[in-house]
Amino acid sequence: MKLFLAGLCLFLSLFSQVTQAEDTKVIDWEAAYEKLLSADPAVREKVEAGQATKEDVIKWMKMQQGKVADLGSGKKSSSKDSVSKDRAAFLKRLTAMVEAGKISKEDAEKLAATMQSESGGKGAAPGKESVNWEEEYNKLLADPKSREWIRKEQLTKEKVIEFLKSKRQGKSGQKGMKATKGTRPGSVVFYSILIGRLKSKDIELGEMEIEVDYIIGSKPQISEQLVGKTVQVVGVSGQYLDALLQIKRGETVKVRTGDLNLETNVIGFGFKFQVLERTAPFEPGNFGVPTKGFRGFVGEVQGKIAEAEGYEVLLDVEGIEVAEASKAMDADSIIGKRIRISGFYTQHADAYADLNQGDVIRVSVSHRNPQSDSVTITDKLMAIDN
Amino acid sequence: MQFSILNRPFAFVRSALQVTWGALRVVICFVMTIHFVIAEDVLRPAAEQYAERDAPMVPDFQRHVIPLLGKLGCNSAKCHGSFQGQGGFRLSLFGFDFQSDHAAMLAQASSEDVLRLNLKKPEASLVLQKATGLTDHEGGQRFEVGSWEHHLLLRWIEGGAKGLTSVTPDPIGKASTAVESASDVSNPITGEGREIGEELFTRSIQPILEDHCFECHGYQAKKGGLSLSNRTRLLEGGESGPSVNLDQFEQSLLLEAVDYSNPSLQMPPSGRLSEDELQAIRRWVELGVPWPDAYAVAPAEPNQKLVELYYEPTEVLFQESGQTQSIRILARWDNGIVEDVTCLSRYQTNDDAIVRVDANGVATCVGEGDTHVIAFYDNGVAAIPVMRPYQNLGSPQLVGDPSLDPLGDHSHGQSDHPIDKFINAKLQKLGLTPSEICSDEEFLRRVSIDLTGTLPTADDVLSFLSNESPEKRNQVIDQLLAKPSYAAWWTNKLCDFTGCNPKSISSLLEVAREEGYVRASLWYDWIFERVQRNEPYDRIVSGLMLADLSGSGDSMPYFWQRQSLKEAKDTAMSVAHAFLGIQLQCAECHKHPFDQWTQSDFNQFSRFFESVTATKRRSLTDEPLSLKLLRSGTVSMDSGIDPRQPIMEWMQDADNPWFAKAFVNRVWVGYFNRGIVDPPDQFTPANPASHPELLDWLASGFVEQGYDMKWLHRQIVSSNAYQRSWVPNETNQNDRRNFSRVIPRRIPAEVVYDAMKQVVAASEDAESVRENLRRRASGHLSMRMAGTHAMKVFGKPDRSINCDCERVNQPTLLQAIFTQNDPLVRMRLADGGWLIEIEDAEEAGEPLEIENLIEQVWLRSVGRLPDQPEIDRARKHLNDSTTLAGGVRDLLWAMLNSKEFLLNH
Repeated sequence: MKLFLAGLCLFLSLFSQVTQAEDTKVIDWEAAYEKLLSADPAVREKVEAGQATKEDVIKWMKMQQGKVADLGSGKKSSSKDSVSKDRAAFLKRLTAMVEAGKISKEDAEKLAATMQSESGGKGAAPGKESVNWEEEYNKLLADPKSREWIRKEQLTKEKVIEFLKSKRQGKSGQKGMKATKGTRPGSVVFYSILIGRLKSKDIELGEMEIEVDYIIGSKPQISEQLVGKTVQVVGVSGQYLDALLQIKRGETVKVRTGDLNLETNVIGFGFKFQVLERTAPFEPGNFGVPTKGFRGFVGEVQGKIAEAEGYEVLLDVEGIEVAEASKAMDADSIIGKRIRISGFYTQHADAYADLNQGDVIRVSVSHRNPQSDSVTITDKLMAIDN
Repeated sequence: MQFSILNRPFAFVRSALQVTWGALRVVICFVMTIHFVIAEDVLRPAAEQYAERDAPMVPDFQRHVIPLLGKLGCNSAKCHGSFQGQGGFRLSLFGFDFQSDHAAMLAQASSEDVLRLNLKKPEASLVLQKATGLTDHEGGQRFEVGSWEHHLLLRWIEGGAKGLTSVTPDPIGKASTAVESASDVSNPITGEGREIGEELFTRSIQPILEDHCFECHGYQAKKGGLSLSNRTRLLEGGESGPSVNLDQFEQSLLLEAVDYSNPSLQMPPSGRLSEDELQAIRRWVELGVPWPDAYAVAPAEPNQKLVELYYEPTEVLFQESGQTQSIRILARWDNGIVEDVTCLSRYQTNDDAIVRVDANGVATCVGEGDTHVIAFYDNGVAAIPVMRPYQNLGSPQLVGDPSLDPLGDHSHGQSDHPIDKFINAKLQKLGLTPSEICSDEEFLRRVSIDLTGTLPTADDVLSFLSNESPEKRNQVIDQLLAKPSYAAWWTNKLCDFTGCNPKSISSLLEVAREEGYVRASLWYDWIFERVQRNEPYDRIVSGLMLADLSGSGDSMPYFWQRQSLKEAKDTAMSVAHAFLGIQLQCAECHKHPFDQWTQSDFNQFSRFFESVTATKRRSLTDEPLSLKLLRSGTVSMDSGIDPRQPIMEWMQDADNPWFAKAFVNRVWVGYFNRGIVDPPDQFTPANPASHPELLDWLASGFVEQGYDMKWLHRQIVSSNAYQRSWVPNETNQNDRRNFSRVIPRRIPAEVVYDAMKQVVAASEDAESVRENLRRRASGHLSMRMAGTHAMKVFGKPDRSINCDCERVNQPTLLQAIFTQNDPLVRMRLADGGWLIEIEDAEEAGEPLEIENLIEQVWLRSVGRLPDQPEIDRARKHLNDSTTLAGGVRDLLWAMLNSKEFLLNH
């Protein structure tokens, strides 16, 4: 979400340039949308992952344009009315997005809090305010943690002030781009489990070609595009070369991916949770692809664990309890079938460590993204005695 | 009487960075090289001085008491030298913290209602009661009443049980004496108040400091500029100001911090101390922060220093088993005292199959060969050469008599090569006859593997065998040195020494694991380019040592950016291991008796790397520093200086005692599987070189040749010593340390992998499979393949620890299982290009000569032609096989599983 915000900030800066130079022109929203998409991978990712539609983005841009236009026309954008109006509109928009299942309630709250603090700052027109950098530097020194950091980094006073300036000028937005650090050039983070048939392999260079049968990941739209295609997976090394050695061409392989080059379909082997193994030929049911009627489900499910790996559980569903917020058309269609539940980290990490194949659990879940093939655990995880 | 030349001025280049050197002196510590006999007064051994009850001399704490406790085993790790002590009595491990040991001895025993040292009634002192068995002692009786040991300790107690005047090394590089620490600024309180304060310190404050404070403000660490190494430093405070206000103690910053009353200054950060602890601190501050003189975070340095430990005789030559020889150890101190310390020294043998030594320094011959007896006393180590010639041929009477040259008619043993002269001289002395010169086939395979990590091709072997030039071996050496695979193989070794480990240079982000491989490959490539163009070794090291940490410039920063280097001490250990062949680990906690490095040496050396380790982006001093550089002088640096620079200059000095030798020795290990100093990363006085003159010659030649690595390789592999057969003769079958024959060794993991691929390669791929470094385990795959089953089984190092022992070349059962049926081997034999060629030819009905196929199997795998029995057996198998390809596959499998294939011989 922060990336998304960073993208919008970028959009604002692009857009304000446009409005200043050509404020009398009719805006081509389609072109602006495309421009934003190409300028900001974070926005592009959101759209590609199905977390925002083109319409959402254009609508959003229009809303922001209102603010920028106000600034350009000399309207006092810092007026309480204007700010509170913007905020109300923003909150309304967030509510709609939560209802549509595009973002979680928690994310929306975080975003609201972030925007609230940002809008507060914007009123003061930070770029133009006069800052006493000496004073800012001294303030920083008064804080023991900052002082320790400066000492450890061996920063000079000039460097610290330079850093403060860059921070004030919003360069921290660039820092957000570093989320893809460690991926190959031109690639974006793409955590998923890819299942497909091994077409070729190179056990020395750590590469293989896979005909994709299925991808379990957080970016369903991208995954959907890759299914049926042959992709190259690169970057296998160390002990995983041994695993690759053992898998024969034509066999189905399960691989955890780390990044993806959208241009070339070259996927980087992901070391996260470390998966590279031979697996049974793909059958949707075996991998927990939910039934159509179950999509949008919110509530509790109970069943037996078929597999617990990588902070995910494959559950053979025995029973369900539907919550009011559920949008599933036929939730019962999942009974007797298998679903994939993800998100067993942070608060559930300890309990997850004790889960084993065959255990019966009851767990509250939300299928917040109907396009995704996995549901996400929410707050409840309970082991049921067999 | 003898002494050795001790002090050699180092001709350091004064740095343009205004690095100034202190008094530079290299003490060639206790390694005897040149001896002169002079008349000198020597104090009698303690055993004689204190044989009688009323000896006139009072023993010295450092010279007599501590060495005696060490000899008796009191300060060993099993007894009072253990971390928690024993029976409430704790001594410093191996006894190098004289100040705390003295304090511990003076303290009242916790378990008994008696004093450890009773100055009024010395004989009632607990240390004597325990050690003589008069009182229960878990360690048993250590000496008898009336013995010289008893008299020595008794006399010391009677003399007031004095400790020593010491110098406390200061954590920030300024020396302060104990006299200063005892002065007003240190302890203003006197009389009863002081006693109360010190008791409070010992009972309550010291545990708090050790448990909660020293991690950040201890001897070395001074977070926020605050050091709590002594009272003076405590009072000075840190960046926030003085810690204690002696005039208005309630306003002390220390109390504010521990009270958690100031939100921006709360100590310790892990949580507020208990009320009892806080009260103790308040009381302590109220008393004026009394600090016992005996308590120092940093071990004190004694004010008298041992400058030399030497021995008589200079060499022990035995002729038969059971012979004995008393060794006399003498210590020379900087105050001019020379004393016979034979009875106070500790001894060990480096090879108990050759010589054993008792507690009195009496060596007894057990078997043939040569080794050293090591004597330890105070900070000194003496290595006494011991030799017993094999078969009694090299007895002292025979040495140097050319008519009785044990090399005799063995013309192969004679050589003008400088290396051979050194080696043959010792062989002659030992009565060892070297093995024959190896065959051409053996030589070609051996030198190809050792120089390039590659098997020769079948064509190479045939061509070499048909070459009749007397210079053909030297020619092939030059050809191999020009190959990229030479650069690849030795780059791989340099990556081993320097710790090029993908995991340690990856980002902490899991997704970024691949980044580590990319960086490791860049590291590899950086070295490879330089080895290939034969850039001088010192310049390669300089590119690593002085790397621009921003990544720009023609240097390699990743050496410093490894995640495994968490603290400056880790970096110090890594630098010492990689470039000096020195292990500093022990000195992190204590001075090891077998080594020369003290904790102070270690700490001072570590400080050079504080900046680079903490930031991984810059290496600059933030204040003027004066640091000792591994006993090779003191380096004074202004602020803003790169502390790596003076270290690099020191390493590049021609007189550096380790830099060139460490590398030369490691290269030697690459050819002989044993170092002249062995293990090669243990350059210690207790681990002397088997051929010191040879090591000196090689190292000085290497330096004179401008650190030319190819010169070094050429020198070694062109010697007869390298080209000897592995087949032993009657005299040298038990010799493994004098290079009288080649010791067969298993080929390294990377070579096993590459060789298996090469053996089965299609004819047209014979060259590419050797030259395509991108696909060779000794080339770029070196990093990617680390951690694979094949590499683990055959002992490829992870490069994660500072030890040459990380590469294992021992044969194991798993290796046998691997070569028999690992999927990799099966895949090679199933997909091998040459086998497919044979299959295709068979299917096409093309004629295939069985003899030729058999020859190829042998030439490809073991680099020689098969003999007649082998041909007959192989032919029979091929004739019995369903297909020729299948039969050849069987033969290849058999050869890959032979010792001859897996060994470099």
